Amino acid sequence: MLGAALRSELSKLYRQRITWASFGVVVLLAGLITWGSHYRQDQLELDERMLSEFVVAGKTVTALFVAQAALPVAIVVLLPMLVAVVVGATIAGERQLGTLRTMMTRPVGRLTVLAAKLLTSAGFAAALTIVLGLAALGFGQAVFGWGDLVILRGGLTILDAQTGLVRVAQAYGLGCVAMATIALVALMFSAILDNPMTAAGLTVALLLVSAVVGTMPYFENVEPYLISSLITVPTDAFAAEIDWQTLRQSLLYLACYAVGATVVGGAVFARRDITC
Amino acid sequence: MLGAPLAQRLSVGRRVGALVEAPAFYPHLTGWQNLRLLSSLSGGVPRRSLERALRTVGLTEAAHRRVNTYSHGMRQRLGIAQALVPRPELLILDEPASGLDPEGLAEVRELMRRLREDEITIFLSSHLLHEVEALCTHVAVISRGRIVAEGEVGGVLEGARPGVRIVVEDVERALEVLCEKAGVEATAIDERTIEARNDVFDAADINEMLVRAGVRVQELTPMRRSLESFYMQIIRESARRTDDGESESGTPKGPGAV
Repeated sequence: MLGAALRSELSKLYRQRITWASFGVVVLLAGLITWGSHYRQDQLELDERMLSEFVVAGKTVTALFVAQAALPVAIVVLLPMLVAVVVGATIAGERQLGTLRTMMTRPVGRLTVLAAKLLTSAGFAAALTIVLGLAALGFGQAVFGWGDLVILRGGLTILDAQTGLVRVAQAYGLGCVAMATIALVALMFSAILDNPMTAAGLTVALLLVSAVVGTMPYFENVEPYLISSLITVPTDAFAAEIDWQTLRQSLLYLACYAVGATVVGGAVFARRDITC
Repeated sequence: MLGAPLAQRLSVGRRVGALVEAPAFYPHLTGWQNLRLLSSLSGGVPRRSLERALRTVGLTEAAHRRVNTYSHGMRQRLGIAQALVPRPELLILDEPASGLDPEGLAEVRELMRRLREDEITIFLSSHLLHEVEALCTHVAVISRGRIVAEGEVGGVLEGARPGVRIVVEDVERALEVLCEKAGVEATAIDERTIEARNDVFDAADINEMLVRAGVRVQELTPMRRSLESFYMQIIRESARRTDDGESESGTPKGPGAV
């Protein structure tokens, strides 16, 4: 029965304009970053001291570099916002429309419906992240071609194309996990609230408040546990050396957010009166 | 439901179709797409079952139009179509005529007549009692969450006492004559109209009683035995019994929902 519910949810998701508009926005962003990189490729963010000691020769901006540049830009605001808007409507939108009531007249359990919505939402968030990566690679390949990956975080590191590709895949894989967590938070708000825009707004507000709290000196001890800090974890894959210990911890905290949101959302969805 | 406990709702649910008040659909999808989506939650049904359901409700030609272009009546019929796939043994229709204009009402009434002949048991919940009387074979009346009358429509109507609607100048005096002196059950409907029900006196007797008591009768209309009059009769009786019981026990009155 889960398979049928999943097919139904996927069919609904990919038949609505907002889904495709989200993919369009992500592709547009990848295009803009490629365009920006094209005009600034001679001014790579190397500090003055480094430029006085090294002579940078050859191609510094490649498809992998564009993919690396796109992720931090998108993962902080754009991707979470798009995920919140689309996923926020998943339950609240159907309740507002009345289709949830029509759906529940069919022989399908609430938890099955919730599981299908959960998988679809997490899948959409992951798909959005992957599309960003593929679009950045595609545009980068078309404009700059293939080549090594220059990493500027913590100094200057140059990875060969194969290792660079693995790093990009790791970063986007982590991005999928982070955005899937945001999707589950948005789904929780969608189960609690009646208005899809309020559900989306609260998800974004949670991220913004968390980001503001993270900048305050009094809260520096809790900063690593805040969701706004955790969703930037994918960019750690673009460090000269990946700190796997910290990465594992961050993934564990993200999993806590995901499980917490699922439990709360599930409990609300299983009990709420959907007839009114 | 269908002889199985409600704990088995999901397995029995495959044999049941339901329409709950005004059905909601995805407005950006066509009727056909909506039907496919909803039927897939029943484990998927063959294309011909969807076509048959749409044919039954007369929406074959509009099937590939977006639902946001449908009239209210068409949406209601699409709601019945989704309840008809997969072919159910029991069809639950909750207020299927809710919010329909006369044309839509006629469409749904005609559709239910056809379904009734199709050997499907239809459980119809409605406040439009003349519709219930015209369409149903059996009826149950629920007041304050309890079944207060049930049976075949014909049998139930035999229990309805004949009534008379009387328009008089002095309602208070008329009520005094009818209720206190003659023991007739009478209720004021508005400031000039009374409804009287009893098994002993006919309209002529009531007219004579009032005139002899000096009450001028301006209009006297015998009321036919209808489900609506029977419903009003038992709801009043039920409410009076409940009120009497509550007064005796000193408990406050309930919300009086019917």
